[in-house]
Amino acid sequence: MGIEIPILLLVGALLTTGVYLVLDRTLLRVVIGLGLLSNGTHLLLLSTGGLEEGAAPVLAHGVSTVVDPLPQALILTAIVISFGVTALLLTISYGVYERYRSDDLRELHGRLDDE
Amino acid sequence: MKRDSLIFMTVVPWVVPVLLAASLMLFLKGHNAPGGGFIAGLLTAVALVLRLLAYGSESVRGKESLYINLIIGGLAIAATTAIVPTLLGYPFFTHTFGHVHVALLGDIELASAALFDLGVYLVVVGNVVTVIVALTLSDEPPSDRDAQANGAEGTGAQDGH
Amino acid sequence: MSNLPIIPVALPLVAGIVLALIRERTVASRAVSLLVNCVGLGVAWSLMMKVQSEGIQTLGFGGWAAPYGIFFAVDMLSALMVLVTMVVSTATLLFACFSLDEFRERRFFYAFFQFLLVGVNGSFLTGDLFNLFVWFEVLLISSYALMVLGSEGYQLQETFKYLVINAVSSMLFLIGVAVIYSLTGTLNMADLSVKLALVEDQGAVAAVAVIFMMVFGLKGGLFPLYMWLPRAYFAPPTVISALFGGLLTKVGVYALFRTTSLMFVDNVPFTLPVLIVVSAGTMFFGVLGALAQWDFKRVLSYHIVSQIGYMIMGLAIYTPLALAGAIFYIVHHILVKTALFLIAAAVEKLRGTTNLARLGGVMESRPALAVLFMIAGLSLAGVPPLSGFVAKLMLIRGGLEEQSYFIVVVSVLVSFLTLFSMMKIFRYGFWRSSESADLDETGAGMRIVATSVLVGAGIVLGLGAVWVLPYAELAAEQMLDTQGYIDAVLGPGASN
Repeated sequence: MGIEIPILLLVGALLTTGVYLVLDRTLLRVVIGLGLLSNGTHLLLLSTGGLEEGAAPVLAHGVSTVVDPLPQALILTAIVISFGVTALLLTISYGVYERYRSDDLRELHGRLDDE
Repeated sequence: MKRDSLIFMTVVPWVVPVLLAASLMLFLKGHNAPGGGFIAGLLTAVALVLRLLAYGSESVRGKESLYINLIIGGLAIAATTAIVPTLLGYPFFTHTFGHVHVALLGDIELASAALFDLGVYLVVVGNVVTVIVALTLSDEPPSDRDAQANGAEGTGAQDGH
Repeated sequence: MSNLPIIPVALPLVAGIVLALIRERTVASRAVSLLVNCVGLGVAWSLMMKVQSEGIQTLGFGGWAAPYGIFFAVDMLSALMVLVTMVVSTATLLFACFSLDEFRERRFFYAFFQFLLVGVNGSFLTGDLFNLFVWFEVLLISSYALMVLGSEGYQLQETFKYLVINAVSSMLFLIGVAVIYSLTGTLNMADLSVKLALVEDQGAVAAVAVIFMMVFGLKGGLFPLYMWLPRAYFAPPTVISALFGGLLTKVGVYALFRTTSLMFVDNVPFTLPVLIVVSAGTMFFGVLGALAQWDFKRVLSYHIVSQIGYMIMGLAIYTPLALAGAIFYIVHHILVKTALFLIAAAVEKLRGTTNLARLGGVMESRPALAVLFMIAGLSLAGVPPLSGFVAKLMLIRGGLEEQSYFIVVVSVLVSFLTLFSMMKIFRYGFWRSSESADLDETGAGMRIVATSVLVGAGIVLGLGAVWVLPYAELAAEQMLDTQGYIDAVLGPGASN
């Protein structure tokens, strides 16, 4: 139980920072914010299986304490997905930047609508 | 983008084989221990990206479609391992394994899940390199619009997971 | 255990891979995708027949038993949704083959189209909460790619917003999954249905219910979370909007139906009252948005929002009649809305714009399109004897039986406003005379064929409601009978 509290505090910190960044007007910060949000969520998912110090999610010879492996499998899937989404998001914001030489939504406002 | 850093360019040829060996180990271990296709793929991709950083994008220019085909091929392998059991009358995604005895190496476990992992590995390598190549190539003056679209496509190919 | 339930997912997956390989050969790509879609149509039909005759079909991946492995569970609702998906996607594909530019065709359009179907069908068929998340991501990533394909400035901007909104809602989805897993230790929806009732901390269950309502409300475009929808669906080429408008929001609605009926109705008392308010807001504000618009595509996009309100109304009343009405409504909506978008796409091809202020005279140059629009538009508004009328009649009767007069009044009012808005499009877009010349166009005939397939299906749905209703009623019955679903997945007696 002891190790879960710091993890949950970290989750809170990551999620608040992420939300703050997503609300920013700079495209790159939004991308980074989404990254933080997903990392926070993954940590939350990790803590749901019950954490124990030194416990491995894989059963093998000589391993006595085991934690639930399912959340870890779920996290891996979620990481792969957020990896793909982040890559696409970066490419799109790069496309916007390359075309308009700005990634600030205040400057972009109106210019994009004209097309 | 080209970095003319002598130290970097000297170190990279030494680091890349180590990374590749480590990724091979992770890949082979992955069946019953931490590791597996995804992580091994990332490590291989890191090695390739290091080369890209050291020697500039010339080393990958013109090979974009190779990496896209890597993604598609990996996807095909992974999908095949999932679908073949259905043709044999087992539920979708059923995996099997067997033991083979090889001289010098001893008993080796062969699992059909490793083939799925191989597919994942190829998808990840292709994907990471495509994305990074797309982002670096478009940084250079000769505006190659296609490179950007490649990035988008590479991401979509994650669908197979 | 038969592998039939996986085929609607596996088939487009294989097709997508093949299509990615032959991306340079556009003619072959068209042929392969159409062929695969027709086969998929047959598979979906036989799946539905099997569900009708043998009850709920299940399949555990890799032979794992029920609460542990990834599980597909197909009841009538799922089978019906898959069938409709295949119908509209085939028609849309036919339309796309004769309207899309070569650049997009070569840039993996057909492959992403199939991957989108993988995601949509997977979401409809799965019986596992986390697996649902994965299928959602598959369809979302494909939709991002389809939406940004072509990389025009407006597309980049709208895709970015759409992507960020959906990524945030996916995070919420994951948080919901995390909380529910820590409460119950399972993610199988049938198993959850049993175990959620046993959770001591019912306040946490209520919180999870709220999270999931928000997630599916965002994805489905419910009030007050629909703001992203009209702009996002305006960005891609109209034929792609047609597919999105017909299918994507309905996946969110389906997920809401599934989770609400299985997990939350019995455990969280405020679910249905909240849904009543949400459905009234969705209907009313959606149609108000449509009235204010002067663009064919935007009007249709706002109508998607408004129509989703009707589906949620059926869910919120939660009687067999109302649920059957809602399910019938979903089927009707997917067919008719896609048809309307395809008509908009055909008009855009003809005139180069969808702005109603600049359109006009389509009636003279393309009477077939005008007739198709008239039928589809009246059906959407709910004029007898078309399919929209049958669906709305059932919903309103269901509402009256339950004395939910408020929602009934709102729904009737919204119907009139919908009719008004359709007439606006007809008056300005088709009827009035105009000097604007037709563009030189190829493939117009096939586009009209593709559209009339859907409009025809809509007419059959309305006139032949007697034959279709039993399926909707069976689906509603199975939805209400959660015990039957649990028994089918976990095996009889497992819930004790």
